[in-house]
Amino acid sequence: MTDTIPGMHLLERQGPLEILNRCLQEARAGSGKLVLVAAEAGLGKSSLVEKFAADHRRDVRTLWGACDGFATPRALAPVHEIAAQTSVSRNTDKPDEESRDRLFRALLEDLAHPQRVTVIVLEDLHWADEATLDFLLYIGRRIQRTSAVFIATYRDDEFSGHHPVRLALGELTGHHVVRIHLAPLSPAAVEVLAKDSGRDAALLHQITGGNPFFVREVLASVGERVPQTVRDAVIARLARCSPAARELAEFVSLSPSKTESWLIESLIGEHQAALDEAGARGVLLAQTDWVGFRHELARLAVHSAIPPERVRGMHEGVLQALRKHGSNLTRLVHHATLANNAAVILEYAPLAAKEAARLGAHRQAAAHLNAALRYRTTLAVPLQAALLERHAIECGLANQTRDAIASATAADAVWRQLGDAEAQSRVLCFLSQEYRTVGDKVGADECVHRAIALLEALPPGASLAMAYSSRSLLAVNRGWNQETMEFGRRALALAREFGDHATEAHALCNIGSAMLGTGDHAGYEPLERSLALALEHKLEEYAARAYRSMLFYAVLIHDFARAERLFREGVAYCEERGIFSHSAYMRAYYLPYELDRGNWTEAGRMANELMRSFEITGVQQRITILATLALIRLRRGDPGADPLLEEAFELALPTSELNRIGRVASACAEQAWLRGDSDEVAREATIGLGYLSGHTAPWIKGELLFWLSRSQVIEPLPIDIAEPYRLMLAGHWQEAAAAWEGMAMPYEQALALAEGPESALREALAILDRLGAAPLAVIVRRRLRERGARGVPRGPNETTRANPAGLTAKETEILALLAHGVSNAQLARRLHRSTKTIDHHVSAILDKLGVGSRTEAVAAAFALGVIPVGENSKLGMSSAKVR
Amino acid sequence: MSRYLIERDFPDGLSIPQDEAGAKLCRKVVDNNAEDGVTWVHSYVTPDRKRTFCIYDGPTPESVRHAAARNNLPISRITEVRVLDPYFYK
Repeated sequence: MTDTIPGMHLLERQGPLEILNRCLQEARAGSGKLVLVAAEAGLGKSSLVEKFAADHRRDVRTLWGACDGFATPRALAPVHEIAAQTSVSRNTDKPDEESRDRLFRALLEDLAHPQRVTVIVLEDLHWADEATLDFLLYIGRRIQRTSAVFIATYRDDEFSGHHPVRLALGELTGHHVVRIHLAPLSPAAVEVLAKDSGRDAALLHQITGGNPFFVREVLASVGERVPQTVRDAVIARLARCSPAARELAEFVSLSPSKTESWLIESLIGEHQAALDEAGARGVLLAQTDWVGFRHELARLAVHSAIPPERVRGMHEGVLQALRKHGSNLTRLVHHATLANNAAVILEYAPLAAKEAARLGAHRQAAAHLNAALRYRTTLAVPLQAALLERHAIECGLANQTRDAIASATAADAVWRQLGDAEAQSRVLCFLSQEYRTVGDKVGADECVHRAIALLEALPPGASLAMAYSSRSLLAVNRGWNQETMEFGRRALALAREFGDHATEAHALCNIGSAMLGTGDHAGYEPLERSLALALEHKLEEYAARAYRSMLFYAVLIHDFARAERLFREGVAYCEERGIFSHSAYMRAYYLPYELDRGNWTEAGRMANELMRSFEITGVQQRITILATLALIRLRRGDPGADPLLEEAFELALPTSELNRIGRVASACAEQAWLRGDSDEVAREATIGLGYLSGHTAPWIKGELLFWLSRSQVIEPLPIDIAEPYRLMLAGHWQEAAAAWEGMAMPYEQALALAEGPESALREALAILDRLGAAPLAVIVRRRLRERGARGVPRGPNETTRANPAGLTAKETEILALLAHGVSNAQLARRLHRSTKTIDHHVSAILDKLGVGSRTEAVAAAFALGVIPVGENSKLGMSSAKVR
Repeated sequence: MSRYLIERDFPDGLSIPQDEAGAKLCRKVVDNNAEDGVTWVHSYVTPDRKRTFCIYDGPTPESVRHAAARNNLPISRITEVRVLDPYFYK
């Protein structure tokens, strides 16, 4: 809301306007854009966007939405506001996640209309609720296919690193995302504004810092004293009004964004004269049905100046008027909170929470329940427990794990007081999961044991099934397979008896995971059944869990074909349903796959992106990300691996989860070996093996024993480890290398080849130079020289380096053939290689060019000049044909 | 944000023309770096132009590599460094 005079020239905003115009141009051509406009409060984001819209109003449709500034914003309100300006139908009878997803899709379709260009403006994103953020991410990932420009404005001084809005903004990447940052006005611009005012422009710039709103406020003030802050300026302006106008302004300041005329009427009666005065003095902005401030900063200033003894009563007045007239829950709760009206809060806040939760705005739901919790002592005891439990659940869904633990613990205490064992165990199972999320093994265990003890004293039921399944979940990650199977089976039997599909799916997932962890591929069967069950009964969380678990183990046992399929399907499943946290988990679990395949650039990029998202959640995922990124760095010889390993180790130890501890220990051992520190290698490997003793974990154990064997002789040769490692330990480097090659794991293949004679060492060197694995390449070169080999290349293949994308000669040859539409099978025949080898080459080409498909690869290759346009000599095709 | 020393090897010898074309090339490098949040501070070159030692500021080694790939510049080694200046000590 601004008072931009039509036609007024915006100072120093030509650059941003040009960027917006360019975006519009590209959108017209069918390439939509997401524009993020950031600036401090008062720098004129609204003015900029309004000017842009006004400039193009003739042929562009503009839709407006704004996030509201209520203490807890109303879920999805801005999106509904936008939808109401289109022909998209909004079915508001049953607001839930499904209807929400339908709304998103309908809006996207509306934007994709080829003939018509649309601009959508979403203001004040820093106040956005979770559901609106989901909408932003949904549109932001798909806008490039529409002919629309989506502009979101926000204050970038409003939040710290972990704020959900900042995290969401961090997830928006790509060429279709444009970021504009508005700068304060320069002294020259302030001089222009201050021209006829008689004020010292330099002093004005110094005090205001170039903030346009502040500048205007100061210029409108009269008298010698220059207001030192925006607040002072606004209050000074207010002080010059009549008491009636001041009263009006104070009432209007109570409601964020705007106050309806009928509301003012009912609060203070006739007010036209006061409104005219306030409008004339530039304090208030009057529209047909509502009144507001020209800027949020002004509203806050006026509100803060109301004496505390009056402000509560005023909010109470607004509250009662809204109740009589009918209003939305969020607004009622907002005023009730500021009026300190316990009864109303207790009545409406839980309802507002329910509404928000249904739309997926869990942070907001938690905030509403938190407001109600302040007054919980006036409730009957069972209601207190129920409220605490609901708060805990919403906090859990909003990734506010510590708050969830606090409330759940309190709920447990109350249920215990009331002697409700069923309710207690329900809360305890929930608590156990939250403890697991923060990596507190002791807490997680204790809760589950207590839950089981309570329920075993009662006749068996579905709750006991869930408790058993929770115990099997805690066991599976520690490799306690017997315990997992025992309790998993018990849970399964009970769940089936009581027809509890969710628990059945949960138990099947754990059983399958345990089996896969020991290397028993039959474990896929229960997992697939778990997934099928969850999909059939639309249990989204359980389906996501099944995908995640299967992916984790498929990657662990290096079953790449399956891992690829699961990743694609799983991520698609989650993103379709807007459960982005699960798809983010899957991306984290997929990282070791990319590492194993040698796609280190892609893995590094993904790992760095994910690191930001997981600062506040998922210890398990963070460990995987840290370990994988550390391995990329240490294998490349890049700095920054050690701090990552340290943190990963610290996080992993309290969890007792041996897969993760083992992985980190193995990475530490590898780092020590590359540095030539034999003692350290033995130390790290032994630590890792210590945690594994008594458990079956063929891959992790194999890896750790391999590193240990570099430092000391291992006798007798172990048999319960994965085959390629067994071969390495037995000295059969050639068979091991073949096994690794068959599994498409080039680095491990090179490690095996490095134990062989000159020819093997050379082969290893070629692989390592392609991967960019400098430290191991140095070791291999040294071995070659020790064997007296001649002509050892000093660095990565010179042909590779001359080629811009780092493609080898063979890869360039293949790429040129791809440019002529030759298939992999044809390539294999033509080049006398196996299709598998060709597949590897094509993968490597895609990775080096940083693209995802052959078509993109060819395009990139032309752009980089790797294939000169019109080149055909290598193919032996007649030039006449190509021209 | 860390400071990195990047060693590069140019077997054919690096050549950047001393004219507008060369200036344009450098500007392009700077722009590409910016997209990865990477800043080229300055470089040292051996007389035969076959090795350079470049000082870079960047958030991660991966961002430095990504920017280098974008600019078609090779990397032989990355080392994290801090500045040590004799005149800091009195």
